[in-house]
Amino acid sequence: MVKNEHSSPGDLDQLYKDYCRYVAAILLRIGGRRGELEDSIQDVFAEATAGIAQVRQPEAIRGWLATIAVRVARRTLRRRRLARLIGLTPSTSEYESLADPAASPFDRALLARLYRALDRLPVDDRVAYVLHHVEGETLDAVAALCGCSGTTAKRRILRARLALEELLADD
Amino acid sequence: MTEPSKALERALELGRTIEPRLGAQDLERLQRQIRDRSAKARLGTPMRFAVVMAAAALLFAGSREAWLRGTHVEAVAAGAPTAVAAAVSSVSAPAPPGRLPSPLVLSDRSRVQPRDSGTELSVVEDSPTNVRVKLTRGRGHFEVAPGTERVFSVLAGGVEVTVLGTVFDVEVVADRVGVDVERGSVRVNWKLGAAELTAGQSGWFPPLVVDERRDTPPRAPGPPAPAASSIEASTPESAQSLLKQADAARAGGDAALGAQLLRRVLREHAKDPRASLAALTLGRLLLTELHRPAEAAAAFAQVELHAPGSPFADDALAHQAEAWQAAGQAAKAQQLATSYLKRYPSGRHARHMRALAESE
Repeated sequence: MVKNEHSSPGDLDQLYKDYCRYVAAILLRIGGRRGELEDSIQDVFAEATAGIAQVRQPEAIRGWLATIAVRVARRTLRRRRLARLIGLTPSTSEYESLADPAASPFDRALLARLYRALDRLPVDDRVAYVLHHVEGETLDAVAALCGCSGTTAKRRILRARLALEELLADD
Repeated sequence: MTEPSKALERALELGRTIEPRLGAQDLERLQRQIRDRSAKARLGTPMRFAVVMAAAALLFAGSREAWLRGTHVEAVAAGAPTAVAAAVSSVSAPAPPGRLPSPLVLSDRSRVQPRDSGTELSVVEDSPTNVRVKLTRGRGHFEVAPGTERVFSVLAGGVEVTVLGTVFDVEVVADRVGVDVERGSVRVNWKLGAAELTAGQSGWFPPLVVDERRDTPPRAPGPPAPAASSIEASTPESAQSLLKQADAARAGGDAALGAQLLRRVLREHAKDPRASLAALTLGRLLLTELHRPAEAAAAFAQVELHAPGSPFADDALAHQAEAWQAAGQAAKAQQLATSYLKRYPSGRHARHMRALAESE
């Protein structure tokens, strides 16, 4: 196994500096909640700290971190769904602050509608859809990040799209 | 798959522009929290068990805030983070000799890759409207993500390169900044001027100012002299003119011609104050563009030969060590690195030279 450059504590700091913004962007675009972002970032790098020595190729670190970020995002979304099921319904007003501050009120509202609609999708469908249509990942990359087959990824993305079309049309 | 509706498509466009908006202080605080958390994870299960039980108790008590905070329960039990001084994210030297530092990936997935192990880069600003990266030393490769409205700028010396969705290189050599555009277009600003470069174009900035009246002898009236189409023209040319031609050759992608012209400066104008700069530029060209590290080392050695105590001397000595390393002459590289550290213990290249001197 090749020891990569980020295995020592000083280099783990460098890992954080190199990839924190990248990880944060993935988490926020999947989850949509700024209030959860910092916790999720901590979760990702805590996992990364534990597992970095296992990464065989230094050039694979970026993709590996993205995989952890997706896993953390899914966990967070599942926790949210469970909270809704037991009657702890979180506020969705946070979605209004997702868009760029310079965005028009219409755009801010539209983006908030998208994320409220995403909240109503199965977690796996949501994650696959956001990875493909927001993050711009290929189907193969989505499958790798989600730990599923290409066919499954494609099916989740299509299911999500159909549901979102209906939800956004109804609002 | 069929195309999404307009509302969904617009919403997705907006989704692609979502930015974390994490400032330097946020990043610093998070880093400390991650370190604290990793340290506590090594304490073992008793602490973690207590935290989990606390979380469960809060859950059964029906506390919405505690549940939604998730790992905040852990953070609360561990104590509040302390305030920290602001810091700037950076990619800096040294990487282990022979290896490049890791790339810097920004929140919009723009990437900044140092081109050599001595490159120093730092992110000055990363906000939804502006990204500013400072290149203090060396060469950086910039891949700016398209499709965003952010202004992406690279600051190098007194030069600012501004882009929108493009791929380009910026290099600092002594007091000159080289810009090489692979895709898209950039605007280059310096104190006394500006220029735009598109894909395939490159240049060194600030550009050399050629004062023909000062550098070339006046021509007697009569038919114009034949154009100097060969570098072996019999008419001697000024150092300024040769340097300008070398810049143009490099900008046009002809590194070999550029090297020949720079050698002419060293041969025909050895006493010119710009000879040491020519030697430094020649060394960089041989090392990074023509991949002839042994010749590059020889060129770097000429910097001090032409101008003892030159302001470029510390750069030249460090690059000479790097060139010998690249040429596979590790012993020579270490010897020069050691010399550098003796002469410039706090020099700009000291960290990198220390790593080189101590490498096996």
